[in-house]
Amino acid sequence: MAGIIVSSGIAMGKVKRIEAYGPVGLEKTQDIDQALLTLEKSLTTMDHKLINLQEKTKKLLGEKEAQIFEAHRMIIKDPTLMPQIIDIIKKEHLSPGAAVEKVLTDMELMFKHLDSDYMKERALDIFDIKKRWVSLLRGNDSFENLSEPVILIAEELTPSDTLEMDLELVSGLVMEKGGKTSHTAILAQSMGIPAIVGYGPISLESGVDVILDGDQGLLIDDYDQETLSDYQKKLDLYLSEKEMLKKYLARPSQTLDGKYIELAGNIAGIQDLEALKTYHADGVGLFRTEFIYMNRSKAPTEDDQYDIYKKIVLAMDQKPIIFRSMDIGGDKEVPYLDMPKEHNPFLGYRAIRYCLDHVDFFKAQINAILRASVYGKVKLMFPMIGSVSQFIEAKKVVLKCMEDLKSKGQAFDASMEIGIMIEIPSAAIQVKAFAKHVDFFSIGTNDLTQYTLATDRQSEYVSGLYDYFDPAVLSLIHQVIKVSNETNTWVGMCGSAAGDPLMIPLLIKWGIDEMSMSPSQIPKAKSILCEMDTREDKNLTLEILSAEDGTMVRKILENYK
Amino acid sequence: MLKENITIKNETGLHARPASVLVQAATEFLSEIWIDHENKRANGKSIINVLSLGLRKDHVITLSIEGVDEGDAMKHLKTLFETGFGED
Repeated sequence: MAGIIVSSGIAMGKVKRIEAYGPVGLEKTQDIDQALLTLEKSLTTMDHKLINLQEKTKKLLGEKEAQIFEAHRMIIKDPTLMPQIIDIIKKEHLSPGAAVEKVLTDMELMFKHLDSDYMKERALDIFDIKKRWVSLLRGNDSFENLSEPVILIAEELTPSDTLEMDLELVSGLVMEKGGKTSHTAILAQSMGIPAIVGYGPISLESGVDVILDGDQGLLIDDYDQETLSDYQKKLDLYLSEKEMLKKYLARPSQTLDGKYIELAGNIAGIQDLEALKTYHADGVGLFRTEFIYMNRSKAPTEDDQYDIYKKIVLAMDQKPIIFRSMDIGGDKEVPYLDMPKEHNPFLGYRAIRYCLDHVDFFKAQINAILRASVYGKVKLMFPMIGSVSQFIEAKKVVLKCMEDLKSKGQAFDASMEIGIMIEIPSAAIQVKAFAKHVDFFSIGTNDLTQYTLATDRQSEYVSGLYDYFDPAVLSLIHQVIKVSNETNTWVGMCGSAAGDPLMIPLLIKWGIDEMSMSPSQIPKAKSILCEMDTREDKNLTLEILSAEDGTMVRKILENYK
Repeated sequence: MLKENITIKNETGLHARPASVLVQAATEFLSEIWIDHENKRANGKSIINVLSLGLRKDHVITLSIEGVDEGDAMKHLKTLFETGFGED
C-alpha cells in the first residue's frame, strides 16, 4: 500500500519509531527507595528539557510562544505536586511512571471540570506534561537523542513534536495518519525531506533498515540486492543533482536575455523562514496565513497576528511577501469557527466568501497585516475571488482598515499592493475586467485545475483526471498571463505547477513575472530559468493549446527540451 | 496573621499568566500565603492550587498571610491584585 506523497525524493536508513503515548496503568514497584530516586532525577531532566524547548521556541517562534514552557516548568516544580507523587509511590507502591500518570490524570480531570473554557484548556497543558514526563520515565524513544540520520515513523506528529526534532538528522519521514495540509507535512516539504503521510499502520520497529521512496509513496523493508542497488543509484543521482544545483543558489534569477523573474517560496509560518534562506528565495509568493488560525482553540487576536507577521516581514529584509488572507474552509477546518457542514465544502463557504460575511473577524487580520507592512515590502491578495464586485467589496474593507489605523495614529504602508488569486475559472475568464482594478495576479493552479476540470483531487476515484497540463487549464493560464502582459499587470503563479520543471519553461516563455513554490524546489527552477530565454515559440503554444489532453501536452513538452 | 478581602480585576480572570506572576511573587516571601474563595483554599505558592480556584473577574477572595514578612507580603501582593498583574 502507498501513502500520500508530501515531499518526493529517496531516503535510505534505519527506522526510528516514535511511540504514541499509551497509559501506564497501575504498574507496581518493589524498590521504593530506587523509585523515589528515579522520580527525583526525572524532575531535573524534565526541567532541562523544558528549558531547552523554551529557548528553541523563543528563537524559532518568539517570546510569547515560548511562555507556555515557562508555565509547564512552574507546574512540575509546584510545591504541592511532588509530595502527592511521592505519597502514592510510598503508599501504593506504584512505579514512578504510574504515580506521575495518576496524579497528573487527576489534575487533568480537575481542570476539565472547572466552569471556564480557559481553564478547560489548561487540561491540555497538563496532558502535554504528563505525556512528556511519563515517556521519559518509561525510556521511550524521543526526538532529542537522535545521533545519526534516521527515517522517522510515527502515528502523527504535532507542531511541538517537530520543534523538538533535529531536522538535520531526519532523512525521511512517514506518518501513519495525517493529511497533506498538516503542519508537519508542509515543514517537511519546505525543507526538502522526503515524506509520506496517511500511510496506515506500520509494524516496523526502530533499527530496521528501510528504503523510503517518496516519489511513489512507498516504504520498503523487504528487498533484494537488485532493488537495493537500483535505489542506491537513484539516491546517488538525486544527491549529485542536489550538489550540481548548489552552484545556482547564489545566482540572480535572470534569464539569458536578462529578464528578472522572481523565484519565491510558499510558507505557512515562521518555521519556514529557515528554508527560504537555505534555498535563496527571492521573496514569499504565498504566505498561507490560515495556518496561523489552525491548531489552536480560539482565533488569534490582531496583536497575536501582528507579532507573527512583523517577525516574518523583518526576517525577509525588504524582499516582497504576498500575504494571502486566510483561506479557511474547504479541506482546512478550524473547529472554533463553527462553520456549517456542507456537502460540497470546496464549492461552499470558504476563504473570502466567509470573511466578507464576518467583517470584524476579517478586519483583525487585515489590520495586523497593514501594521506589519511598515517593516518591509508587503502585498496582500484575496483567495477565491469570483467576480470584480467581490474584489471591490474586499478592497473596501482594506480601505476602511487603513482609515481606522490612520485615525488611531498607527503606521502602515499606504501604497501596499492589493491583488487576487486566480483560482476560480470565472476570474480567469474575466481577467481583463479584473486588470482594471487589481495591482497584481497570482495564479493558484491547484484550485484552478480542480474547478476547471470539476475534479476533486483528494478523491481516489477521480484524482487521475486531475492534471494541470490539461489544455483547458493551460489555455486559461495562457490567457491570464497574456492579458496581464498587455495591461502591464504583474502576474505570478503559486500552485504546485509553478515548481514543476516541465511547466517552468512554458510559463517563462508566456511571460510570467514570478513563480512561487516549496522552497526546496527553487534551486532546480533556477537552473532552468538561468539557461533559457523568454522568446515565445508561437508554434509550441499553438501545438499545446490544440492538444487533446494533458498526456499529449506532457509529451510535446518532453520532446521540446 | 493578616487577612484582607480582594476583588479580581482581570477581564479574563486569573488565568495562567497572572496566576504565574502571583505565584512567582508569593514564592519570594517566607510567610505562608493562602487564598480562600467559596469554601476552597489554595496555597498561594502553588500554581496548580491557584488555577484550580477558577477565579474570574469580580470574584472576591480572602488573602491570608502569616509569617515573619507578612506585612511586606500583604502590601506587595495586594498591589499586584489591584493592578491586574500588569495586564490591561
